[in-house]
Amino acid sequence: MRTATHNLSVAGVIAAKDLRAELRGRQAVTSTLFLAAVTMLIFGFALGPDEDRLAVAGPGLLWLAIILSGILAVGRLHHLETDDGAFELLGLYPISRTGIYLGKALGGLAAMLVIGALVLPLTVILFAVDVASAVPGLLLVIALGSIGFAAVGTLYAGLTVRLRAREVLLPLLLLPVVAPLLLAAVSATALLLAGDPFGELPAWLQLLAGYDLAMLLAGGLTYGLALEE
Amino acid sequence: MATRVLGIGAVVAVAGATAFSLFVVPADLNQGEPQRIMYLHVASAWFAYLSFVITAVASIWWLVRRDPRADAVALAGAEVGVVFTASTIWAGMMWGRPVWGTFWDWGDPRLTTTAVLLALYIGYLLIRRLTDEPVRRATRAAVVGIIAAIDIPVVHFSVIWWRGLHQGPTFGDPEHVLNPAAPSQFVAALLLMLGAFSLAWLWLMLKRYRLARLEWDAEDAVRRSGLTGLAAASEPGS
Amino acid sequence: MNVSDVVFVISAYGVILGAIAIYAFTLIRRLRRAQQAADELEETPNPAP
Repeated sequence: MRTATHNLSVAGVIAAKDLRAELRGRQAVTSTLFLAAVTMLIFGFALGPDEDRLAVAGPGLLWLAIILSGILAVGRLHHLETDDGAFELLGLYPISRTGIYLGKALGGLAAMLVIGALVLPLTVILFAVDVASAVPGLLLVIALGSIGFAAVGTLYAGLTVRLRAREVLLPLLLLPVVAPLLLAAVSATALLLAGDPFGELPAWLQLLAGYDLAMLLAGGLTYGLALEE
Repeated sequence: MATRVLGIGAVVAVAGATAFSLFVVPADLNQGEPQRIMYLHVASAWFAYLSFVITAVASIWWLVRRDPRADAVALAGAEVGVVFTASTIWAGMMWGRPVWGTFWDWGDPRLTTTAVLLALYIGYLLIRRLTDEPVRRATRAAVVGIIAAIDIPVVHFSVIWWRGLHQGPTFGDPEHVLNPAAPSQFVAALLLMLGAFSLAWLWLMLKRYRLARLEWDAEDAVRRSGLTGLAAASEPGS
Repeated sequence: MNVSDVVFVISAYGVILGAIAIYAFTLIRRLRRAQQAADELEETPNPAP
């Protein structure tokens, strides 16, 4: 119980610190959001002006935009610290590694949710996807998908942050790992928009929740190793 | 010397199994000649998965014990596994084109899962290559190896459900090749190929393990001699 | 017998067995080189105390 409260308070401090840094600097949030918006625009050009085709591709494009910007977001949260050597100092503090992980993951989750909040309306506007009837479900899917992505993304960002080729390596490692998350999130989103005629939605939500849990657990157990070496 | 005997045995066995499945077994009545590819495909897939299981176990072993031998086993499993995974995909494509009519079938869970698998473990090998300091490299790689192993079953299930949703095309199912009702010669060819591949796989694993141990010792010796600091200093922030 | 079917069988066996053989040969070569380096290291006395 004590370790649990300790973990959570460390997580809170770390997340608050990152949030403060973001609000003060603000470049990371704006540039990440801008990337998400530009990605949506580019998808539109890639798939042509046929509105029906864009509507069908909508769920997939929504999630691709979230994930591509998410890679940038979780990477940024770690670059902030390595650039001035603060990451090593963080490892020296006698505080819970799991707490540090949870704090970083929380920051990543917040960034993902902000991205989702921008990309969802963009999907409606640009791709003529009608979401009116499915908003609560969509918010749940975006939340579940963001948790899973933040969980594994934070772990991998911590692993790669001190490598010279981190900009290439992070997406390279992350994209195949989040392949099932992408698949589940896109399927759930498409089902929600179609009204889930075959009742398949719960299975996808369970898969997402299971993925979130497994990655959070693995991240909490192993993230500290990246700090200690 | 024992590995030399094993190596020669593996070459003979693979040649024998290949000859048997190409010239002795009759062509399948439904699929014709391309069915012969399945022996190779199934054998590659088995040892690809076995390699990755070994990498996952060795990764945990490293994190618990920090034993350099565990790291060498994990590396051997990943590298040999990538070779066999790529073989599995190639064989699947060469079989799929004549039988299904396409090189790639997004509705087939095995093919799709294997593709993700290949990407996961190429990433594993890359993070190894990009980390210079041996202990750090082993730890980072171990985490990646464990995450990849957690990911495989999730990928598999998600792709199976995905197919259910999309009502994939009803082409011939490769599962039926392994049907126990198949004539004994087909089963014999598959068993022969599996046996031959087990020898080849074991030889490759042993050699890669030995090489990894030598490389570790060499790095260790460099570090202990006057050249220290180079490897550690090459990473920013260490 | 379909000729193009045979082409697929040959390319499957040829590429895969060939790739494994090439991998095996590179392993042998790398091992030999690593072994040589290890032997040389043993012959020269360790400069560090």
